[in-house]
Amino acid sequence: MNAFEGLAFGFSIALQGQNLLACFVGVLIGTVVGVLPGIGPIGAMALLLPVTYSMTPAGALIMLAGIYYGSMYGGSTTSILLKVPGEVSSVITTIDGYEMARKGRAGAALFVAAVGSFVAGSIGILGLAFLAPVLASSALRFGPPEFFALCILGLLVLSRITGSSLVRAAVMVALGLGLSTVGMEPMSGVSRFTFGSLELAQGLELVPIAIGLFGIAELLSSVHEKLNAEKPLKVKLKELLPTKLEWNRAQWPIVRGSVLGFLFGLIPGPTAIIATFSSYALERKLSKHPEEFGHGAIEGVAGPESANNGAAQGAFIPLLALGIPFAPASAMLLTALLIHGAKTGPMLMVESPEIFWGVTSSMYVGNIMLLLLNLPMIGVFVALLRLPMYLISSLVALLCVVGTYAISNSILDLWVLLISGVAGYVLRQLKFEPVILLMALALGPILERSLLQSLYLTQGNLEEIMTRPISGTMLTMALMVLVYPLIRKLPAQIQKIRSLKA
Amino acid sequence: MTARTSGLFCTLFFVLLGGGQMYLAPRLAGGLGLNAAEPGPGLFPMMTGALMFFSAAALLIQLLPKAKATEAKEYRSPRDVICLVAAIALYIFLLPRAGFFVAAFLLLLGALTIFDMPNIWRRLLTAALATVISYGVFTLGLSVNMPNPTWFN
Repeated sequence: MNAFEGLAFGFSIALQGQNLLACFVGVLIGTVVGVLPGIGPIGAMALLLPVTYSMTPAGALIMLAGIYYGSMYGGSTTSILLKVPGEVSSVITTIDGYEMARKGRAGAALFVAAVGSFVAGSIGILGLAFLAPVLASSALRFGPPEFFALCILGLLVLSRITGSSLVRAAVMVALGLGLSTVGMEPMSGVSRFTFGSLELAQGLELVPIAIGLFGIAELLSSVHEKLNAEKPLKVKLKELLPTKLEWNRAQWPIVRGSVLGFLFGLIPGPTAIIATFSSYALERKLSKHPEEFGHGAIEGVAGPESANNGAAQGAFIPLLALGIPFAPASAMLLTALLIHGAKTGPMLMVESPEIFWGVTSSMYVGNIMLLLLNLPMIGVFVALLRLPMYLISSLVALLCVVGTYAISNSILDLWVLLISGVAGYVLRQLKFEPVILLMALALGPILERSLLQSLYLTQGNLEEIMTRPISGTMLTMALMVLVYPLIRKLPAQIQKIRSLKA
Repeated sequence: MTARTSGLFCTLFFVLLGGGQMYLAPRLAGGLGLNAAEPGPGLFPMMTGALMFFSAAALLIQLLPKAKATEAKEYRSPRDVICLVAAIALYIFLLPRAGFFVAAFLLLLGALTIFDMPNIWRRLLTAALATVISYGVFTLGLSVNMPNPTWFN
């Protein structure tokens, strides 16, 4: 299936009634999550995982992906109207966006941000449709050693991009992999670490742990935080359209930001944030009016807002084509794929084309929905900012427990949720990254199965795993991911030692 | 307890957890296996236990010297956090015994109080209304089967 056939097939999936509804719900929740400070897209995705149980895997992914890129749209609203970024990637928009709002051009800033996000989304989708199949063309050459290497690479990449130190990340990986060994062993069926509990023999459910680590832990962390009492600036619908001059000045920054963001999305790490700062710097350098930056330059909104959406779309390529999460939100999407029993990595496109192409095409549909939602309904989203946080937080607490119970009507799941929530809170306080734990827990069974199969296959010869072309390349990349930060620090360390000796 | 002390306790717990897993893994039925070509069910837990043990031990070594280097910052009182955890635990305890209405009402009332909603009467009313609405949404709308309360049967 080439990219055009794939997109046509994808649209036939994305335009089915239930998937359209899933997409709409996803982008709507994403926008709301982006608008409301404090609730991130990862937490929202974790909370909605139980809801996706009754959906098809494609529908579930369409909804969850909608939350991810929808939050990028919503994040700009608070940045422009409140000077409070709804999402970290909207920080740079607070500078010129808020200044524009103070000058009465809030509507124009929001319009340009929405159009920029749409253009970036569209460019990103085309890139995804054409690039991902090229990457995934090696799918049929994937055997257990390749999957083993892919899991190792994925875990290492995630460990290195979350900002956690290497040893802390290793502890989280070990904890996640260790928890994944609870229950029956995949090859022999031997019960491990169940301590006689029949419920534990099934293994630990991912969803209660995900909701606990991100939903409950987020609530516990927010208990002490003071609520933002600032009132958002007003937006009048008639002020929504930018002037001809503003539009002319915004066009090229949108295109440049979109391409820049997309390229940044292909790199592991907090690329959406870096892309916005790079786009801002680029636009300032190219602008004929650099002195206006910081005082309400429309290029300072158009470029970065396009860049953060471009990066969000770009991050779907490594996720869908290789099964490697380059961002924490991608890790949550990968977890959702695994929960729905879908094959991750290059086999996704071969074995579940409806998921790959359906999700890709739904992004286009979702971007149109977001454009239609964000412009005329901006007033409604702004009104959300007036909702008291005590009400939202209390309802989120109830949603966490009811959602978890709904998965399998199990009280044990609720206790797992609570323990995971407390653990997530403590881990955050101690600067551990719970997303690494979740990813390791999700990948643990695949990693173990592929390791054992590889050992059987190669008669215990690990050298063969390392010398096969694909697995060898991936393990070399994993080694580079592990060693590069240490090598990068080496000259500074040598300099430090020399200065101490001197 | 200071942040450093909490970190040390937590890391020590991870060291023990890793050590425990390394101890138990070879004792599983089938153990570590006969050789590399025929691995047993204990091999992977042994590897993850070892990773946990050694990485947590390395972290412990990193954290220890900082004992002399101050960082005596106290955490804010975790009273509200404990209250919220207790409210959720109470919900889990009451759900199969007293049913959804009682459990959800008390959880919402507790959460609204912890998150500083003013006026007790508004809190009671909001909790009651939200309980009824959420029952409608989850049980009637999304067909979530709530347990039959054993206390009232």
